[in-house]
Amino acid sequence: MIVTKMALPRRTFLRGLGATFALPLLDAMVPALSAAPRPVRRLGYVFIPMGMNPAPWIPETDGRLTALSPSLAALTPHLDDLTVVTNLEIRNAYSAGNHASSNAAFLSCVRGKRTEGSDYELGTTVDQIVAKAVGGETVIPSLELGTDLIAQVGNCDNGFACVYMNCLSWSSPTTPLPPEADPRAVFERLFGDGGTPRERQAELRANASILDWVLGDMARLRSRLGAGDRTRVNNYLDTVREVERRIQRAEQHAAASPLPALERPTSVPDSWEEHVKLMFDLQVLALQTDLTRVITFQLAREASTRTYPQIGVPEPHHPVSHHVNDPEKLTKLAKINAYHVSLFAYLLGRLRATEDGDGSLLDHTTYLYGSGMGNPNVHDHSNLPIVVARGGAGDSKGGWHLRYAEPTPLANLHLTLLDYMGVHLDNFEDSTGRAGAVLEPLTL
Amino acid sequence: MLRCVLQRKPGVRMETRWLTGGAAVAAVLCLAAPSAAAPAASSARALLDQYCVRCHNDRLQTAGVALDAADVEQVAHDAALWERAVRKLRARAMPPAGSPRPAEAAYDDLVGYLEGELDRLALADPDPGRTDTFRRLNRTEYQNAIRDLLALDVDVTALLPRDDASYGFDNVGAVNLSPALLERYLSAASRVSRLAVGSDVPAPGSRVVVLPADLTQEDHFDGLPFGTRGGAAVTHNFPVDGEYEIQVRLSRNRNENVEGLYDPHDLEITLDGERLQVFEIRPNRMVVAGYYADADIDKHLQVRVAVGAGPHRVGAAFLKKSSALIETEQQPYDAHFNMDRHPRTQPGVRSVAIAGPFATAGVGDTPSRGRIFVCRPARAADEPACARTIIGTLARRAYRRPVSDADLAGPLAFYARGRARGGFEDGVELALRALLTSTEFLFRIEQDPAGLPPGTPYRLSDVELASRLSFFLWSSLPDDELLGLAERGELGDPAVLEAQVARMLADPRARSLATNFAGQWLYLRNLDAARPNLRLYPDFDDNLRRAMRRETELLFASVVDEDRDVLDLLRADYTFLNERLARHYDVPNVYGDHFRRVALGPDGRRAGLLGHGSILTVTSYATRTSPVLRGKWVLDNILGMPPPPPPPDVPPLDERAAGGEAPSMRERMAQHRRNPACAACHQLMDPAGLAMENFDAVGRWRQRDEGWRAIDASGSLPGTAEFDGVAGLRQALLARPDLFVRTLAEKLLTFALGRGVDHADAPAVRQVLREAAGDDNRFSSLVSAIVKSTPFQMRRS
Repeated sequence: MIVTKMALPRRTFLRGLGATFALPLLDAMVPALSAAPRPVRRLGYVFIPMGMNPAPWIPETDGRLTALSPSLAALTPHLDDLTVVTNLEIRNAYSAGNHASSNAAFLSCVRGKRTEGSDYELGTTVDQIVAKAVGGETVIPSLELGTDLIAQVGNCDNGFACVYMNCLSWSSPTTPLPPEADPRAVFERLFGDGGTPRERQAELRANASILDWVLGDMARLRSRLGAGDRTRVNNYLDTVREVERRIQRAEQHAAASPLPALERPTSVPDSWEEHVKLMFDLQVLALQTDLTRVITFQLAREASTRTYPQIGVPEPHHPVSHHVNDPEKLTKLAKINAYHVSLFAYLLGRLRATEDGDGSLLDHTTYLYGSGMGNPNVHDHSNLPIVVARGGAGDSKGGWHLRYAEPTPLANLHLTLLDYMGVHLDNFEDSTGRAGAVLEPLTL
Repeated sequence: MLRCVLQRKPGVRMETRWLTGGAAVAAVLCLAAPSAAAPAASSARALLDQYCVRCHNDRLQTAGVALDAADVEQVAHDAALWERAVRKLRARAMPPAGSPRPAEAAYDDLVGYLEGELDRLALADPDPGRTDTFRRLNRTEYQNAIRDLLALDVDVTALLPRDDASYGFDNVGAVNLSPALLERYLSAASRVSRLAVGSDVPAPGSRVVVLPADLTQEDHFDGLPFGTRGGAAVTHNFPVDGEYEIQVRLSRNRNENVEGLYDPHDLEITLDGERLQVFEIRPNRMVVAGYYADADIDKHLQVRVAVGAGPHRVGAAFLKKSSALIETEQQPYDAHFNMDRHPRTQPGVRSVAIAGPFATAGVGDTPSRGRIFVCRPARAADEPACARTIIGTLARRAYRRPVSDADLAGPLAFYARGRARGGFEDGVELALRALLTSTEFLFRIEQDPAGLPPGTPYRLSDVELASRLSFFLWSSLPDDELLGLAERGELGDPAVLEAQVARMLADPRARSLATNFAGQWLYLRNLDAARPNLRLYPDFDDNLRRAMRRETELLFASVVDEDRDVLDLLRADYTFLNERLARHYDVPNVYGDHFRRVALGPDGRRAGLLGHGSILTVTSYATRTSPVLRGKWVLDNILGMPPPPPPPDVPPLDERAAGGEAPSMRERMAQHRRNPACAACHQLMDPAGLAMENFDAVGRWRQRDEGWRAIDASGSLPGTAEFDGVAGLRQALLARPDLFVRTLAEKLLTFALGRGVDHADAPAVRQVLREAAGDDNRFSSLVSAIVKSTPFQMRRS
């Protein structure tokens, strides 16, 4: 099988990284490393499609959590890092195409314009608001990831263009950012071509000496030019010197710390679970190296018909989600919910195991995990399954079940997470306030 | 005549060369120089006073123009103003409709006087304009340069970012170099030099070619074996001799089911047309809750095979079934890719992946290596001399000029370094990599001769002229013949230059004029982004998009190749069609995917560019036609009279009258002309666009609009009587051939110079038109005249 042989064996990849702060040596990432004093804050979103089976999901007690519900049980090792939020809703997600809007409104809280053409219109999503504010400090302002390689054109959901269902992040009301599902493409965006440490180092040295020569050549050229053209060449010289500096920093770093063997994934793993975990590994890597601070990840697409025989659900997700209160289907839906949550637990484990400044990466990172749909049987957008994870270092509010008495806009929670990233807005779309006292420590 | 000769400055290095050139240019200009006549000046004054100054006076300053104060006897005082006036008068755009207008003869007299004076002025004091001293190779030029330098076709879209365009062309204004861009050039140089030399790759790589989701695959594709349908042919550069894996994935719908898979199908994978393996694909019969579980259905579509280094063609296509065997419902459409509206009736290929090498067998012999290794050292002692030959040859081509020992010192040092670390070929590779990163490869540099005061016109060196020529006609480097002539100083000879232009236009590399120049001039590049609304235009797919673009490129190429009158672009009674596009146009008896020349019927609907689906589609919105965009396209690209940009805060058109049905397009356009802020420009644009209303938003012919109202395609152009439909529009455009030829000449000149063309170039453009008109406006005469023109041959320091 082509992918098995070519795909990066995930464990090799991880082994290569090591437990310490192992730096993949590439020039593109270097400026960021020296840019900001640690620790910096990061924000991620994991989107799941088609809501949940509420009974096994919602914790029985409100307030302090001492144990988790069956669907969330895999998160038990991270109990203190969690806030489970119940009774959030997205009013603007009610539409003629509820699968499209469940995805599109999750981070925008906006009702998309109904069109199959290229004249689509939504709103700027919260992750992109953050990316605009803090993205300039990193090499890559934000990463948009997914696991589905298909990209349909035209109509996806009852008169709604496919971008609504495919793209979670929008940098403007008319600019959807397509998610990348190919681990290789993500890797190359982060780290370039890869290769062994020795090869990468040789590559850097060669580039450095070539630039040195280019610099000399340009300087000679400049001496023969008129004043106006000299300004232009001075700009080129600045550019060359800037790239030289990046390479030098990378080389210095290489001298200071042994380099990991970083293998480039060459294709998508056969198993979806391996694929998801690889995408999570790449997220950890991107955050750890401070190449980016904002990530959105579509764990699966809305209306997905993925089957999960590995957990005893050979039926496709979408028809299972229309459970018509059939106990068997409800059980299977809960299994899918729990399975997805277990993959999220994998991410939290990796973040916890990665050192960052005075603590772990999880201590300086917040992830929002959830869906734009509550009860998928009727396509409703209330009582959404939502979990906020962040390292509990220093405060004791973790392990909490926040249940709103009245349906409350998801936009309120978005505002609070923006605060966490230092982006303070008065309101966001249909917000009616902040998320409330329990999540306030997030703003510290 | 002495006034025609260029100023001569003492102590100029290139004195001889530029004296010769100056004389040549001057001779050309003097030939056309008319003499000024005092009576003409006074009658010009009278005409202006009678027809123009009512609005264009010092008090009203309409459009910022005051002609009462301007001295028409001394056009030198404000040449820019008078060139602007000439443009308006030539197009008969002024005085505006409804105002008293002079007789045709009076128009001609005034234009004749002004142009004569302006040309005389230009002759006495030529201003060739100043191109940027540094211009970066853009993406297209880089790709072509690598092809011609190293015999290597690389996919440049994976290496370099998109370029931004100015003045309608992406070779204008390419002067910036950001750190991110330099990093891309560095990594491109590394990849290209490895691939060209055939160095061992650090790790197996993979390339996944994904087919457009809206590609219909029900029929045979040109370039794939007969008896197959759908699929793709991918040309791939295999870096070394070795084993590679080829994997094919099938197209899926939103439910992740393989589309159109109702019966078993056979898929064939080929290498250079030879069959590697045939795979059977069986439908999955396991239906769960109305869905198939199709995850594994295409997992076996892969083959591992030993491939020699170099470019090879990998094909993947389905064996065609006789149509009797395909059980389908009656399908009203040609497009089959959308599960809801027009589903695939048979499966399609989604992607072709090529990975490797897994077991490297050797370096192999490739066209690139043949081109690079012009000598092979028999023993170590021969290496330095051979390296010098190889690197000297590469450097001369890469820098587009003769190279000195000093030029080679740097690259040879890199050779020595690579040689010390690896072997001879590693040395050559590192030197090549340095060349590909050097300023003189990445930039086209036109440097002022030493000691020339700023603002002095000077003639370009022959070597610089060679690059201007090759980047104009080929979007690439000069070849050895052209460069050799330049190095020997023979290119300045008009006969030699003429012969080179003819040779270059006949060369396959000149195809870039159709794909690169025309692709930008006519907006064909925008087709990739065209996404007509699927509900309203269900029969649009990638096959149609590709076919439209190809039709227009082929028409343009036919005018170049057959050296036709450029007006044939507007009136050709033939076009190029394949079955898909012919069906779209309702042209019968065209079968198969390959394009062929088709004589058009007498109805004249599709004659020339105005009937091309490509242009009609890129000037439409996703949901409807746009007479504004179409009219603007005609003004910009055919008449050369771009309207000014719209004022800010324009209210949207009422899409729907209150409570009533949607107004017709003509009614909506009438709103423009009721609003005085909009009227001035829209009464120029809209009538031209409205004449094309018989074409819908994807270029199909129609008699009725969306609301089933009969189309009223009456229209007009500035200064013409009303006409009907696209045939009338075409006739009106052909009645003013000078406007179209001038527009094309200006676009070509912009592209050739890589800078915007302004009023100072107008005399040169007129000279080009005179020369071309003397040779039936043949494409080559236009190009030759541009190549001979002052702005092409000269530059201002």
